[in-house]
Amino acid sequence: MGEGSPQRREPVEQGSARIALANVARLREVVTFLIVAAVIVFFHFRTLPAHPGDPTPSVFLSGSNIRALLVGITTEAILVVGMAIVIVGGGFDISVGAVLALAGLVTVQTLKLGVPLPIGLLAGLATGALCGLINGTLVARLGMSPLIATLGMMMAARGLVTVHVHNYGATSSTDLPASYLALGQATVAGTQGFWIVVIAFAVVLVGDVLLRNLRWLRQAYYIGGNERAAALSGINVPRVRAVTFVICGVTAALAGIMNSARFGTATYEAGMGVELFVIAECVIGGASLVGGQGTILGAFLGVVLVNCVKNGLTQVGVPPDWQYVIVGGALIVFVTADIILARRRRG
Amino acid sequence: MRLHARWAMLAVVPLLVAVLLASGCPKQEPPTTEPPQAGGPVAKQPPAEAKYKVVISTRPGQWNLDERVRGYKETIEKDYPEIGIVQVIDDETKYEVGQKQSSAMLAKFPDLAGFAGVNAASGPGIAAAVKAAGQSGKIVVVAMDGDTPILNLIKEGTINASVAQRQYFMTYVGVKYLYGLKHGYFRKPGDTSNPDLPEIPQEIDTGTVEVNKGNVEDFYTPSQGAKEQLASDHPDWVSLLSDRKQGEAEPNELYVCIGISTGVEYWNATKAGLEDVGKELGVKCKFEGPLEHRPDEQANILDQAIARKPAGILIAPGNPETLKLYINKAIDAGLNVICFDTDAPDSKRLAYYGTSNYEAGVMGAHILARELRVKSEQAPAAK
Repeated sequence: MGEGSPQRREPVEQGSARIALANVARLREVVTFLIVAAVIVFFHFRTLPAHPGDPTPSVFLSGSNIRALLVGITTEAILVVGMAIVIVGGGFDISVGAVLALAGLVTVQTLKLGVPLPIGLLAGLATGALCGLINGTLVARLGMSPLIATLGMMMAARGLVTVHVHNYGATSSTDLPASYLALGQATVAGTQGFWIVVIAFAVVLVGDVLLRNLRWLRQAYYIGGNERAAALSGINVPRVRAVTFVICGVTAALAGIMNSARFGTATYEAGMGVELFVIAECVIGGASLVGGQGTILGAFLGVVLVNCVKNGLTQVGVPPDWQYVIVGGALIVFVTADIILARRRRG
Repeated sequence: MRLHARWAMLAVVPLLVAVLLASGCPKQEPPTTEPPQAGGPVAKQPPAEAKYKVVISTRPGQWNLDERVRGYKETIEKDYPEIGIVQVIDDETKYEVGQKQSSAMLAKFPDLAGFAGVNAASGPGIAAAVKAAGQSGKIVVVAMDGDTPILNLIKEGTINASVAQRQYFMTYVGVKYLYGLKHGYFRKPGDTSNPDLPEIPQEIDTGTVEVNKGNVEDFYTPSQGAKEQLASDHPDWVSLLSDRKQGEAEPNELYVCIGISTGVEYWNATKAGLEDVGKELGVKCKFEGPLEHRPDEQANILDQAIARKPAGILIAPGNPETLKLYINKAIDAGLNVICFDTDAPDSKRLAYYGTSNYEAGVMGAHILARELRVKSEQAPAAK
């Protein structure tokens, strides 16, 4: 959040600050939504006509492509929920991809022991919570930079997964209980992976509602906006900041569980490199790496936008190298526009 | 909160460790196609008196690379008792990691005689370490593939030779058989509905070729020399579908080729093969795939390709387990899928066209042994 923006005011003015915050955030979400809509319309016309017999007019808007897109964004959609909360609180977490892989591995290995499904899922979530707790403790209690703390966690978690997979091999789907695989692979309403789509959307919805309405979670905005002022107003800054990392760890673990259920395996490459995309999507969706700004809905729209662009570019035959140039360029344009608009608002 | 955090850590850390240990116990037997302990020190330590000590640089756990390492190990063990593999290092398929690891080996084994790299990044990584140690030309280096940095290092003499794959052939012949399936010139393996048609081959070894100072110039082309050798090496592939009906390809008939880590030069020959076969057959061929090694992203791209209902799909699975479900989904949707470069043998894919990775390792071992002997003979003469 920039200087002079609503969240910079003291928490005694919480009411007016919240209204201003909501207006700005809503405006940004509307802008992102309109860009998403424009991208969809653009690729719809660029991929006309659809296949013979397909009721939809374009390949981009064909049912099978939309289903593929929905399933494809689930991992990032879950990850941005935790990441957006951490970013709002003034931090960021580059260990989410590695924690995703570790939690997925712990879940499948626990399930291989023959324990009931809920126990396996809890083991995975607990792994993510532990990683988040360690990150949060290092950042909030010891004052370590989020970059260093989560970089260390990223290397340690990825290393653990690599050591395990190299020594004991990848887990095959034949080793896993059918109920777990059904979670990620069952076909409902013509969509393979229907349940992970439902879970991802539910996580986004619940996360967005909680971040907007839960008092202690909303305190992350004040910490990200002005940590000193937040502390002076009585907010327990270390605790709230640590909790944001724990939430991020849990969402990374949930993404890992969904990922391993979807593919029926836990590999050392799972989630590799996804963290930078997730941070970029949060920023595109309106979050500021300085903290105090952003919403989960905005971050989710960032996920949708990036993935629609990547999907559409693939459909029209743009080589993969250029897709990265375009996504990176979009990120720079969004952030530049944000800075310029923020300066104008400040006069 | 502080107390709770401590209790949570105390409770969860042992649980996590216990789960990881318990789940790996008893230790799984590796598949028979994979070398035991591909990543660490070799299982059988070579005798200390081995005449030639060598190190293998790889990315352990990657199926195709493990096969190449197995080819090296078994050939050396069988045919070259004078060679001892003292260590297998993990270069993470990155130049800079390979350089650091190789430098560590040069420090650890002052009498090291040679290196063998089994992926495209291994050779340049090893060469950088060898040059930094002032050992260029003194230590034998056998690399893998024919990327430009490797060709340059062969020309300057730091790398003695490389085992180059024929990526051009993989996509050239792959699209031809997919086209043949689409237009009724061939039938799928095991398909008895039209027994008069020939089946497509379930496996094709597209072969490897040695690159050395004598022929290195031939490899500075997009196809790495494969296009020029196609007619002489594989006249049967050139004449394949030559009797097809002209104009039978549908407008916008599309064949999708999906790679992984597509940012590397390795895929240039793949694209050259696609371009040439597309022109020859009058169809569109598109190359796609994630820039990094992200099999889950590759699965998303395959899923989106299925939505386009292409005439055929070629895929090099980054991880066979991760991609299996989506390859099966494509087959179940009535699409023809052939694996190239790397295989997913447990999936429903129709065929695999690519390098026999084990044979590539065997070839590399023979080249390594030859170069070590040549170097050994040159050394007394130099003195």
